[in-house]
Amino acid sequence: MKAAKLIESRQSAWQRLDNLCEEFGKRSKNKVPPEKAREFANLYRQACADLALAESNQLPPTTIDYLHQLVARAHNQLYRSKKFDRQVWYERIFVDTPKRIFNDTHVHIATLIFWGLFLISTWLAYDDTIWPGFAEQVAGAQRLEQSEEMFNQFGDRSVTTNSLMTGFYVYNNAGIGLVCFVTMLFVPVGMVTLSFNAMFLGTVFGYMFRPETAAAGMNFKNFVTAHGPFELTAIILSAGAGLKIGLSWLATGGLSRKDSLIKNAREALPIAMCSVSLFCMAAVIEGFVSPTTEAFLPWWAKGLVATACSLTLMIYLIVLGYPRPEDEMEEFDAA
Amino acid sequence: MSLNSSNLSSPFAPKSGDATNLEVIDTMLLVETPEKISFQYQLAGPFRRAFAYILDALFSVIGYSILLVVVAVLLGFLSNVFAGTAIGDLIGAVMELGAGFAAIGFFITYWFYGAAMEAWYNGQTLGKMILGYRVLSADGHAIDGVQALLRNFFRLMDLFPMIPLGPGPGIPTCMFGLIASTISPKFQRIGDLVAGTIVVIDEKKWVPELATFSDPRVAQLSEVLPADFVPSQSMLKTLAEYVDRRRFLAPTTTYEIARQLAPSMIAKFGLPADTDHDLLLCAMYTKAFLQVEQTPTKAELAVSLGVGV
Repeated sequence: MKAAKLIESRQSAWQRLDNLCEEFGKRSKNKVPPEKAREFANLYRQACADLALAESNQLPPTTIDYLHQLVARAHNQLYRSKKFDRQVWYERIFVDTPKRIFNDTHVHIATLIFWGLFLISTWLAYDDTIWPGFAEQVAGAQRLEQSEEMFNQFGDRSVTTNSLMTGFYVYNNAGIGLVCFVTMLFVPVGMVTLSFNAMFLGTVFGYMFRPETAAAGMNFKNFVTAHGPFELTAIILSAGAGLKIGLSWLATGGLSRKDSLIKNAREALPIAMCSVSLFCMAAVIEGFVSPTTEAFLPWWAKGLVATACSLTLMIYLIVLGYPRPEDEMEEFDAA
Repeated sequence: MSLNSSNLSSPFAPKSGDATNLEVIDTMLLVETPEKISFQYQLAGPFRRAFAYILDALFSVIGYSILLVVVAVLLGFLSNVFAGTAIGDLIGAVMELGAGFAAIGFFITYWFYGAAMEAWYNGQTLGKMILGYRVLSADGHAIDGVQALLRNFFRLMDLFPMIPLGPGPGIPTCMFGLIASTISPKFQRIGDLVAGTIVVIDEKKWVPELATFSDPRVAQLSEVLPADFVPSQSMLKTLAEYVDRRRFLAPTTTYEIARQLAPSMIAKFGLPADTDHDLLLCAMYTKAFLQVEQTPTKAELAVSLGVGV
C-alpha cells in the first residue's frame, strides 16, 4: 500500500479517536458509555499499531509526529487520574493515618521540640527574674501590651463576628500550619517557623499568667482553654509531617534522593491533612465557644470541651494508632 | 584496567540510568506503554508554565469573587422575597454566617483549587486547559489525588523568595521554582520533585495532509525516476521537511537549499544536468510517498492488527 493511501484509509479512524479524546477530556467523571469505551479502545489499539509501523511504512515525519501526539492524548484518557477512592477513605482516615502518626519518629521529634520550647518560654516569660526582659525580647513589648489590652476588653461578640473570626482562623491558622509543613522541606527554615511559633505562644502564655496581668489573664485563660488541644496538636502534626519530608532527602535510607523524597512525601501527606482538619475544628471552637464570657459559659464548661477534645485525640491517636499484634504478623509475613 | 574487569562494558559505555524505558531527548519525553508502544511527550518549560499559573491565579480570584457576589445578591433577593416566613429567617441566619463562609471559601480556593482541578480533570487546571498542558506522573501515567495535593502545596516553596512589602506575604519572585526547573532534566519545579510529576504539552494537532503539486512536470519527472528508488529514513525526512516548508520560502532560498542535495541525485539517476533542483526534490517526494509500494506483509500486518483486535 502506498503511504498516501494508507494515510487516507486511516485518517477517519484517527479523526474519530481525536474527537473521542476531546469528548472524554471535557468530563470530570471517569465513566463513559460502554459502547464508546469499546470503540475508543479499538481505535486506540489501531493508532498504536499505526504508530508502531509508521516508520517502516514510510509515513512522512509530520504524520509520525501527529500519531505520537494522538497516541499520547488517547493514552491520557485511557489511564485517567485516579481520584480519592471512597472505599479506601475509611481505611486511610481511621486505620492507616493514626498508626502512622503514632509510630512516626518525626512527629515525636516535633512534639519534643514544640513542647520543650513552649514550656521553657512560658516559664521564662512568667518568672521575669531568671532572664529579665525575655518576654519583651521574644514577642515585642508593643505586641504584648496590645494583647493584654485586647483581653482586658473581652466581651460578648455577635454571631456575625464569630463566624467571620472562624473563617479568619481557618484561613490564617490552617494556612500557617501548611506553611510550616511546606517550609520544612528545608529543615532549618521550617525549624525556625516551628521554634518561633512555640516560643511566641509560650511567651504569651507566660506573660498573661503573671500576677500583674491577672485581669487580662482570667480572660485569656477563658479564651484559650477550649480550642487549645486541637490547635497545639495540629501545629505539631504539620511540623512533624514537614520534618519527615525535609529529612527524607538528607537521610535517604538507601533510596535515591528523589525516590526517598517522593515516597516520604506520599506518607507525610495524610498527617498534614489530619493537621489541616484539626486546625479547622479548632477554628470553629475558637470562633464560637472560646470568645463567650464567663457569665454565658463558665470556665469549667470550656474545660469540659477541652477534655472532650483531648479524649477524642487520644482515642484517635493512641487507641486507633497503637500497633496491633496482627500488624507485626503482617510485617513478619512481608519480610 | 577496568577494560579487563569482570564488568564487560567498557568505561566509555553510556551509564545505565535509573530510567530504562524513559529517556529525555532535548525536551521530549519518551514513554513506553503497557501496549509496548513508545510515544513522545513534549515537556513544558518554566516560562510557559508561569503563564498558565498566572491565568489560574486570575481565574481563581475572579471566579471566586464572582461567585461571592452572585451568592450574596441571590441571598439578598431571596430574603426579600421570603421576608417574614421561616425560610426568610433561615436565609437571614445563613447571611449572618456569610462572612465566615466567605473566608473559609477563600482558604479552600487558595490552597486547594489547583489540586482539586488536577485530580478531577485528569491533570489539568483551567489555565492548563486553555494552553494545552497536562500534569502527569514522572513515568508518563496519570497523576492521583495525593500527587495533585503535594505539588500544589509545595508551590509555595517555588514562589520563594518573597520581596517583603510591609505586613503580609510579599511579592513572589519564583526564583526557587525557576532554578529547580532549570536544573532538573524534566523541567520539574520543587513541587513536581516532591510529588514526582511532570508537565507536558498536550495539544491537538491536525491530521497533516500530503503535499500535492499543481505543476504537471513533477508527476512526469517522478515517472522518469528509477523504479527501484527506495529512499532511506533520513532522506524521507529531508524530503518531507523540504516540501512542507518550500511553500513559505522565496525561490532563491529554495534554490539554495535544494542545491545541497539535488546535484548528487541528478548524477545518481543519470538525469540531464540542467534538471531543475526544486522540481527534482518534489518529484522524489511524490515518488517516495505517493507511488512507492510498501512491502505488502507490513501493510497487511497493520490492517490485521488494527481490525483483528
